Amino acid sequence: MGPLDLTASVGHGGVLVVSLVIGFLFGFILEAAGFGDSRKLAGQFYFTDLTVLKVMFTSIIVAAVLIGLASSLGLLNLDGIFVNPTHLGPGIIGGVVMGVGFIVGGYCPGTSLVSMATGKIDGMFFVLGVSIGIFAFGESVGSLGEWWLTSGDLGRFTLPELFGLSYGVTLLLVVLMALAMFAGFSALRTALYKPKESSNMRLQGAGALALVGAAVLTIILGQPTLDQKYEHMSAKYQKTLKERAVHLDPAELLGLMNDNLVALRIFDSRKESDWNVFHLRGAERVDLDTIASQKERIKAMPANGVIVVVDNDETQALVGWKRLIALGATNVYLLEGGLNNWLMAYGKASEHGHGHGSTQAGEAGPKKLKTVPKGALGFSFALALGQHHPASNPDPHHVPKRAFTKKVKLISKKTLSGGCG
Amino acid sequence: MSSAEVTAAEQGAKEGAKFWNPYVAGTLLGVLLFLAFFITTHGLGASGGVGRLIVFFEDLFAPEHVNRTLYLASMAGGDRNPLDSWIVFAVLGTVLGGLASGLIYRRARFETFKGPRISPKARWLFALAGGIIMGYGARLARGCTSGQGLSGGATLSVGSWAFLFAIFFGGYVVAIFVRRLWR
Repeated sequence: MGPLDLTASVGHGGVLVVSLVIGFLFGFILEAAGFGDSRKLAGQFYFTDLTVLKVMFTSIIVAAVLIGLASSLGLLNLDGIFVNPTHLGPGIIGGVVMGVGFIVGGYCPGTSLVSMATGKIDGMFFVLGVSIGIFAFGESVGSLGEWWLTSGDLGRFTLPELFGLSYGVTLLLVVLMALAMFAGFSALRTALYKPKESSNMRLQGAGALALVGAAVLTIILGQPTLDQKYEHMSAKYQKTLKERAVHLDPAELLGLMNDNLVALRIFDSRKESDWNVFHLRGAERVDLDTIASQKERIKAMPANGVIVVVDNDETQALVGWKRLIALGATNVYLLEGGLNNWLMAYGKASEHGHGHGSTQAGEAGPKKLKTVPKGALGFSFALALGQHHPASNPDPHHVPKRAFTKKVKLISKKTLSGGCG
Repeated sequence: MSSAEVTAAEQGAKEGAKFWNPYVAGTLLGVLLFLAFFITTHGLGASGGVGRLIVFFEDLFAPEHVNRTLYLASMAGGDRNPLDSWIVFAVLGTVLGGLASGLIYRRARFETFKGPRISPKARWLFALAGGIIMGYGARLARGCTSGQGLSGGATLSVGSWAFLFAIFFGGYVVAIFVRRLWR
């Protein structure tokens, strides 16, 4: 499943070569479309020439539909591609400023490069101006202060989330809006200037129909669920799971709970009644069906962040682990043998316990049940103490020593960057 | 249509080969944009590459100043080489690609594109001024038409769509007042 991990396959130098080739094709298309000519670009704003609108929005909707469709088909992981973060204030003000620069200067940065390359002197002056403007920004960004950094900062925020619609439906609406814009602007131009040239309506109609069809197909296919998404990327993790490389022994988890250098988050995926009876100190109950809502928090995890999924046994914990992987989390593990295994190891911690409740009800630890259905808690507790049970947070110095293999390896996550960064 | 209203497209056709059909060019650009995302995880860009070139020269002459300015240091602080980035090579490619197309279609020559009512020198001045405004705005908006507009538009980023409409708004409003430049 895409996107490709280019650095891994061709190295950093290879990435630069690929970027050069993509840039080359970009420049070629811009020039061939006529974007090296400031009169064509400026014509957009007097309705004499609609090339800017047509090329820009055609490319946007074609790419958007291909991205959405590829995701529906399990070919592309949407979480793996860079989405320009939304900074409403600077984005809108900067956009308006650029609009002014566009009509005064006749180009935008990309098109001016192409104009300069083909020897247009106005294009060269524009590139010089862009350089001065960028220099001026670098020198003055400090004085913009917090506003540039934080105003309207909504992070990765997309139109489907804004409208509360599915990805496919949003795509269809965007395509229809673009087609309406093409038709509206063309009608306006015809009314204003009565141009003689005729456009190939059959070709345009076929193209429009293909785009609408692809958007509808995206709606029908839907976006993959986390489980389907994991299936698409599962080949990468087969070996890891077979070697049980992400299954942490209770002792390792206990070590992490007492390690100040690790930002540990324990996701407890059990039902509320089990949670109330007993859970680990510092754990948070996470419903696996709505785990996607944790996405932003997972993304904001620090580099030393580790997530451990715990359940009564391993079955559900593995489901949770897979969904977290599909969400793009790094450093995700699960508790080997689940909390039942934990209680086997540390259930008697109450004898030396340092929590309250250790002497209450005269309990000598939870009782192991004889028959335990799959996924159920294998111990009975006299009281529902939640995280106040001594075994929730046993003193690592007073527990029986266990031999285990350390499995946590902190992997620094790749941050996606792009745009004009 | 009167002769004063001859479109730039027709003029282009007189001077060199005809430009591609805008919908065909847009479709090809869209496929390229998709491939860029699929292969490199990000879209296209231009102003960021120019920005890194600027920082590169700043770093040559005033490395301490670069190191003290957070925004510049993020690209060229300490041992960081601002040119060691995909976007610098994409910009280089864009220039080469534009030149290639210009040569193939016989449009590469020294000349100045301008409206009929202003002198070349005035046009150069306005191109410079517009460029300065554009460069500043592009950094303010965290990306230009390509990096923010096309790439963010294709991934349905809310900010990028607001940005796209802001550009057209700014352009259309000011176009009324600078009609002399182009018409």
